[in-house]
Amino acid sequence: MLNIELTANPALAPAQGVFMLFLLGLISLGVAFYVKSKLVKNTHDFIIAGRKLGFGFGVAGLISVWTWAMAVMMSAAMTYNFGLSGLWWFTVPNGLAVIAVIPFAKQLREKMPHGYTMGEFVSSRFSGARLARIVVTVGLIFGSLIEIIINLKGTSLVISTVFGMPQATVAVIAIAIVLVYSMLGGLWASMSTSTLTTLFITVPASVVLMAVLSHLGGPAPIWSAVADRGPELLSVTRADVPAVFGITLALGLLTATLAGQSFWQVVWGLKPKEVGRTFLWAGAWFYPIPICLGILGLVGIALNVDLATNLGNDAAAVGPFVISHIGLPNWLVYTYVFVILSACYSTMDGALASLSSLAAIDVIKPISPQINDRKLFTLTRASMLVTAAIALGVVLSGVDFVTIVLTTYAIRTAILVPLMLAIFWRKMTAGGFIWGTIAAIVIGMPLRMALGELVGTLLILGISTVVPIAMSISNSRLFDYASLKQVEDI
Amino acid sequence: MQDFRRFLGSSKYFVIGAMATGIALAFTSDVQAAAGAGGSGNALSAGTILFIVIGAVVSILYIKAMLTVLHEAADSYSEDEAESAGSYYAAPAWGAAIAGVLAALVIWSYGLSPSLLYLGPILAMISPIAILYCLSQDIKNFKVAHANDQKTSSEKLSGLRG
Repeated sequence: MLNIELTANPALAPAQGVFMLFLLGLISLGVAFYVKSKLVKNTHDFIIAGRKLGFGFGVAGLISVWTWAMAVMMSAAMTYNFGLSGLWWFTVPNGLAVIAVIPFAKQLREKMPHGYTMGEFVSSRFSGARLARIVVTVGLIFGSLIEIIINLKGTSLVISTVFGMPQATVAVIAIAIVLVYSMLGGLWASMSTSTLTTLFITVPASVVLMAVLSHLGGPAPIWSAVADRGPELLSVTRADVPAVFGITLALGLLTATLAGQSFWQVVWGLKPKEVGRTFLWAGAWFYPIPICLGILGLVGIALNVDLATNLGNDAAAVGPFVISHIGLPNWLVYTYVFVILSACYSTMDGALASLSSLAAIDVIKPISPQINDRKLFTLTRASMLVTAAIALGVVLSGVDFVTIVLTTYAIRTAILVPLMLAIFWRKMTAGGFIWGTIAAIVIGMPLRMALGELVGTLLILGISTVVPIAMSISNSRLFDYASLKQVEDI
Repeated sequence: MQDFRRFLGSSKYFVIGAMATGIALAFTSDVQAAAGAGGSGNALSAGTILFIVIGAVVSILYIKAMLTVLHEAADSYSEDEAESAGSYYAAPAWGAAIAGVLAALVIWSYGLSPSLLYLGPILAMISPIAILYCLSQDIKNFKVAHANDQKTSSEKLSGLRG
């Protein structure tokens, strides 16, 4: 039986939180400075890394970009809520969502070697269809913006809880640091710092979990305490979990990768032959992170951590709560916070880099096609500043950003199948793409609100599949994918 | 072993230093006292120390490989790499299936025996080692490309002489 008194660590002060925020920031800044001086000469280098990303940076960068600060905490939260079934349904689709990109990525990288964004692809695929490009671009911009907002909010919560700092201070410092090094090096800076943060996530997570297991007398007392609370908590076959969150999460993850610019930017930034194996390895080696950190959820169950009184009704707090309340030495608490900060910074810099490519290719270039590279470079960097300001404004104002989340979700889910069809189906028409997407949003979203997440999501996907197919099946003018090779570098 | 020593280069002193620090940490009295404050065990057990030492070594090698790749990328910045050079590396569907199934099996195994909970931290430590392998592939590719470049330029020079 576990006999641990759960008490907050009184030695953690705000100054230490500020120190940690700056420590990781300075390390990232150093890498970004090097990258800027050696590898970033123009807008092309800034937004697509000169298409010279290799296998190692690709794998490590993708793992880190995909490891959200909330994901670090949610693996433990889902385990705490549903036992091993929760961890299973959280983890397995997460890696597969990255791997699922491979066939689409290889097709587009091969057929459109000089591409930058999905909006550009849609425009080229449908002979300049403006509405289709706008819908896709808006979905991608909102997607990247929400990545920054959620990570900034999550980090502010964790750091302020652990170190007793005001959330606003944490948010301002964190976004300022990420903005500075992202503006220095764009995608190169994002992938280089993310390669480093993957190390800062995996090794410390491993050490912290070993220390937690040792501190609690080994895994046996934890395991027995969980088993005492109910054998279903140690089973992966709970029937209610897929319906409660598993299937919806799996579909949501697919939309986040296939309809997310952070991933497509890497697809076009990698050396062509590395695309397939990079996504395969990234998906596979992402798995250990939630598998390791999910154990904190079991610890939470074993220690009888109470959702209402201890976690403020937010299960995502179970990891930070356990780490800061079981009497671990301070340096282990710092190490865990470093894991969360690393995940936060890398996701935010990935989102900022993806937004810069959307701004350059889908906003600035179409408005001003003859713009010179110097001006484009400046405006591209400025777009990061604007995005960071909006994200910070949302977090500081305390407004409920559910509307942004819902809008992002609606557009991303609605464009998922039309995008997949556009990539592989030669009969797909612009009308099918646009009306399939619009019908899915207009009809599907109200139905989702009325019928619930699972049914609603399946309906949105159903509508966005049936409408494009019905409208394009009789199209006799087959698209020639070789024409995508005409797209040129900026 | 010689390849490994060559890869380590002067960083072997850092590796030795990291190992010494890990061992010293284990015997530091105030850390041990803090570790035993709230829990029934010792946070800084032999297992934790082993992980700290392995983690330190992995970190040093990882950062060294990362910096090498960055240097090589900067050195070959102006070199124009033919985009169509070489075929795509394979990303077989069975590879994806194996990754998914293994992850599912590891989580399932947590429910079989308490000691299998150690798989989580072990896999998290192996993850950067796998990335280290990926980085080493990049370094190898850079070396091959440079060797080919040197061969081509020396052939051109000998052609000029002839």
